[in-house]
Amino acid sequence: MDWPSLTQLRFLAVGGFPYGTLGGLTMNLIIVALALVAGFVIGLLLGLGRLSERFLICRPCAAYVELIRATPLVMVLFWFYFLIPNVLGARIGLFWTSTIAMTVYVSAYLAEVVRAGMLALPTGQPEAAYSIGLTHVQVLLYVTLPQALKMMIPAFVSTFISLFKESPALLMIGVAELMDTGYSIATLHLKLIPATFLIVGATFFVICFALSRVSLRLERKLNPDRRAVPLDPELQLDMVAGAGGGARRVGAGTR
Amino acid sequence: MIKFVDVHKWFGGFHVLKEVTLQIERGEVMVICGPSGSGKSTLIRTINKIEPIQQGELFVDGQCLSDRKLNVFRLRADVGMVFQQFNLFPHMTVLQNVTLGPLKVRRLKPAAAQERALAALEKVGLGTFAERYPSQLSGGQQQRVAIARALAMEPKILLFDEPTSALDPELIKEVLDVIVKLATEGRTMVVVTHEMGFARKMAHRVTFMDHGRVIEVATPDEFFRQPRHERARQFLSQILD
Amino acid sequence: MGTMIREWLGISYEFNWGIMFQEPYFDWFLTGLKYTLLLTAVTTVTSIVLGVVVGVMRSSENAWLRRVAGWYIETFRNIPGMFWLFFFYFAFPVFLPEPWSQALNPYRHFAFVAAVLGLTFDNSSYVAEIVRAGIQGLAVGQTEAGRSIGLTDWQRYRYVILPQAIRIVVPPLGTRCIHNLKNTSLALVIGVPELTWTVRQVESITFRGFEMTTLVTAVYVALCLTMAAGVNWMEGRFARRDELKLAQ
Repeated sequence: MDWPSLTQLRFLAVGGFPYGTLGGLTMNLIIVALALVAGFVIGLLLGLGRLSERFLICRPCAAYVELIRATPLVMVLFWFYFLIPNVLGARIGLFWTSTIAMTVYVSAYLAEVVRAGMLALPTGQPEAAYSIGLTHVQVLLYVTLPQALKMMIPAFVSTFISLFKESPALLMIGVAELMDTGYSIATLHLKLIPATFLIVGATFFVICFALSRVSLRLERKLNPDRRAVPLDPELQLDMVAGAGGGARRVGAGTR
Repeated sequence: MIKFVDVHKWFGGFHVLKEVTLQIERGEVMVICGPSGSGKSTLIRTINKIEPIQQGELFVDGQCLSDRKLNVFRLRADVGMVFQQFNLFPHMTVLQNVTLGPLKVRRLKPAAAQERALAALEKVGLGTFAERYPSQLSGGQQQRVAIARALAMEPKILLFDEPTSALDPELIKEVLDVIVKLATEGRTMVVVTHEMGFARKMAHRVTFMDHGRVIEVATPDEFFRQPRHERARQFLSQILD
Repeated sequence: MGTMIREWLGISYEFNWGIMFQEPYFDWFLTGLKYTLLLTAVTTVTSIVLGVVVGVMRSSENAWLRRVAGWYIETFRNIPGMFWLFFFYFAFPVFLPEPWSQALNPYRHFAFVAAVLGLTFDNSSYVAEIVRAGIQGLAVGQTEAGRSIGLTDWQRYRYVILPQAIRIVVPPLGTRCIHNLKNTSLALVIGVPELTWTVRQVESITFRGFEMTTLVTAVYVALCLTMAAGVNWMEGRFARRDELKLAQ
């Protein structure tokens, strides 16, 4: 089996950097991380909005979330790829386009995580908070959110893992991420195919496996009494349409 | 102080409160009892508008609860509630649980809030438990903290929704003692409970409910010795062996 | 009015909604739709079959079966679906003995087959986990109750465990299948002309990305929502059927 050279390996890890654009594994990780942070803020607002009693807030949020969750990642990427240059009149570069697209995509799923977390709180908590006279915002800030967010952390980590696993889709709009750089190297020479695939596959495996172990440990530590968000986190990105089907716990634990 | 006038409430299709007309005076200790499903918990929860009513009028401390201009948050600050499931905030210490209201709702300075909280905790006998977390307390202690939390707001009315029903028998007494102490201080209290001993001793009046209706309202003497209605008699014979 | 909206949004793009229905673009769209539906249908069936087998293996009492199933599941769950698509299209033929890979070369539909393989294996690992969780989620008491009535292992599975497991399993399985539908959009990288491929084709030739993207997104959303409704309906049916069985 022929192994890729060191230069090629570096290409896999960081793409053309520092001579060209950043790419490879680093690109996957950075975009996913950024998308998750920004997506969390948006997802939090969306999730809370979806729980609101005001029709004008609840409906649009729900529509947005359901629409995005029913759309493949690739299509969301295409949307922003076509939309952004036209709306803003200028190209803002592939990196930011993909980050924004990923943010929008993951925000819908995180909105569901938030919503499930809030729904999982015993109703007595907000009731007790309201009964001492706290306003809506105060109840959220001091009582419900602190508890709900803590329960959501494992689901949040799992969403990170799922998004990372979907990040190769970025190559469809030209981002030179790990799968793409791997493909470039593998097609250089037939003999390189086995080794390159092995390396790329192993990289994904190691990262996802490690992250999921972290997620398991986090869940055990944070919720020893097993009161985590009642969703099988690994199935996070699969859910479409409605709490009924999604918010059910299938058997024990996660992975 | 609290006045129900022909109040009705539905949960979807289920008619949970029917033609409820009841008056509770200032300084009165009113015990509400009845079989499960009679609507007594729902009734007490309408007083601080945790459950809204669909028909009829409800006046609390002179304010009409259906009034559009009502500031429900200020109302709730003046009405303290103790729940069956305690509902302490698990992510806060006992002290933080009790100071939350005074700090954020009464807008007291931290020092003043803490003083008030500690006084309330002393009153329920848990002054030294300030830095503990609810999970480290027994059921009886948690409920007493919940009472302190309500007291720290210096409410005009105290509502108790089956405060001892979720407690192990040996822990009931410590909570009841606190409630008795409060009752002797001339507060307006509405207590939903199965503890008939308490009702006999401390209540000014007893309200009996069944299937969403107020069946009988009488003094403990009248109610326990000679209930006028058949269902009241059935209920008492079941409860008081 | 379209112009007004365009100016307000600052879009300097001339919409031409009719273009999607012109030839040959509409033909491509129909081909894409056909391939998406075909791919979804085939992979759903194969991945469920495979997934159930692996899932049952994973919850078996035989330690070796459990271990092997465990490796299978970990391998396919930790590595992205797109990798497997590439793998089956590019790498797999390389591992085959010479005559076989030569025979595959001119095979027109190899991309489709590779896509089916990749998506099947990927999806089956999730199905296996769902099945395992469903089986193990049933109270141990059920097993003992079954045993105590004198049922054999096989009978126990057939009459007690599996029916209940199915009820637990249908919702997450349904949502997983919906995700499978969305995953078929990845097949375009190895050349399967499914719906998303259509978008790229039309855009690269006419530079009109918008209209096709909108149409295709609408199709995906419609398909997903329909499947979701189907899952909800099945949930309802299974619940009622079980009640009927008990009544008997």
